[in-house]
Amino acid sequence: MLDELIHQPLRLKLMTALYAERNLEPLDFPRIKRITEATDGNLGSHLTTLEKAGYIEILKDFLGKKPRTRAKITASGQKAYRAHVAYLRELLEQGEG
Amino acid sequence: MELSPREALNLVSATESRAREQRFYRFSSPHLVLWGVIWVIGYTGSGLLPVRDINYLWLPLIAAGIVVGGFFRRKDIMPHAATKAWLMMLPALVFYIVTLIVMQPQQLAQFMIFPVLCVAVAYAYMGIFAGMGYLWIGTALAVLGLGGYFFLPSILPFWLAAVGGGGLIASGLWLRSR
Repeated sequence: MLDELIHQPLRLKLMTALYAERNLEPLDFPRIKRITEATDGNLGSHLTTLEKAGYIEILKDFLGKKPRTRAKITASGQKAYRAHVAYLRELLEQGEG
Repeated sequence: MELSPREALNLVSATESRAREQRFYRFSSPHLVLWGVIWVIGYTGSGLLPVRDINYLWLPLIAAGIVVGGFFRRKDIMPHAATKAWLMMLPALVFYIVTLIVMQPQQLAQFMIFPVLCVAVAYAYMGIFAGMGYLWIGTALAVLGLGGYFFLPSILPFWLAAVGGGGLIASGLWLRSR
């Protein structure tokens, strides 16, 4: 089943980047931007959408005195992402690509 | 515009590749800075010390680099990166040792430039697989190193300290920001 929430170019890239780092430290915004090649405005709104769906968690803390915002994929986000990618592969194999 | 499955999977693949490349840069950048500092000290000392004393400078520097580098291991970023990095550098190291034995360089300048060229080739090769940033670093090292070897022989050690050592430090900082 296609996950319409994930199946948008930047959100798919976001989910892929966060899934790739799921066992490591949460990604900060500058890194997410570099991996996904997103702009600030785009990034914020799409991350909020994914957070409201429960697919990611936004973490705010301080690095020294500097505020820092990071994101991490949740367990349900990982499940949804895996299912979505598996479905895409299935569609491709069936010749829908 | 709706993404086709093929377009979507291509996006996934490209993003995974960029994430992997970023991770490798984060892991490796402190090592470049470390070895850059070692080269600055080593090559500067090579220009100031008598030839017979140069090994007494380089051997402990290299040992210190290996020990300190061990403290930079980031299993949280790349669990097997240290092993992979050693495996990637090993052919260059073997080539370096075997070539010295076979070719028997006679001039100090040859001894000085040869490790720079070996590292440059190793980085360029690594760049093909691990991230294009390393290809540019390797290329710059080789070009600048050889420039000094051919056109600035009288100040070669100091040139290598500046462009080799300084170059590695700058490269490490540059990779961190990529």
